[in-house]
Amino acid sequence: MNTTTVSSGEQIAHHETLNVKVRYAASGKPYVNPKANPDETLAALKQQVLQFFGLVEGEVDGGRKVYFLTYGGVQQTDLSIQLKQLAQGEHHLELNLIEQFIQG
Amino acid sequence: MATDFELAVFERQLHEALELPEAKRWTLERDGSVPLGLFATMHPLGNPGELYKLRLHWSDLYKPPSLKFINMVTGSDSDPKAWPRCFGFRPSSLDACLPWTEEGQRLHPEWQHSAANAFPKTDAPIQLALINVQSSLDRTYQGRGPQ
Repeated sequence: MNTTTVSSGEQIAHHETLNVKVRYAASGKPYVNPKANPDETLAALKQQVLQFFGLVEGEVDGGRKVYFLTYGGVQQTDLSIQLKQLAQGEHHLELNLIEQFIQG
Repeated sequence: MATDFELAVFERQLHEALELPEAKRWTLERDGSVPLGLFATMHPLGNPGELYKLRLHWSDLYKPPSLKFINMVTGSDSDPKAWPRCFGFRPSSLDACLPWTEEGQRLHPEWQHSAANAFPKTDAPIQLALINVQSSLDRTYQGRGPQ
């Protein structure tokens, strides 16, 4: 557990780490980090997850590869948010990594 | 014709799909009319009363599956009203023109030679299809298809 000291000198305990799991639809093996830093941003997590799954965003032959994170079915557009903000006091955080396909 | 290996993988992955967090919102069942097929019932996030039954058929488990939405009363696979209006789904054409579907790849053969739009390499084909349908429903649902 980690602590934060408030103005009265009292120390408040909170989770020092988060158990984070990210599932990529195409992979049967999820990304798991049982000791994720709660202050880490979604942007930083996304980079780790892309690397874990061997994925690269950007221009490729025929178009552009784009991936996004969803939490509880909701696409996360603000990647500056911290993991602890998303977790809202929970110790476990599960997200999906989704490929943004084009429509023919 | 599905191989014994594909059949075994299919059976295992169907059970694994039932353990996904999203599966709390699904009903899944085998489609016994084909070796590699299933039915799933899903609903969009925030619209639990709007149920959609989809059918997935694979001719090869590691290639794009055929996706159809099924009329839950008649069992018809040719009812535009059985389709949700979502990104990539075309109720009037009774197909989903997306790179992960057989229909999309058939309509756009150029996709298979494109790094951007080829069918993704996958070791979890059932999960790939189900999560993509659920994600489309959750993020881009605009109502039921036209009559």
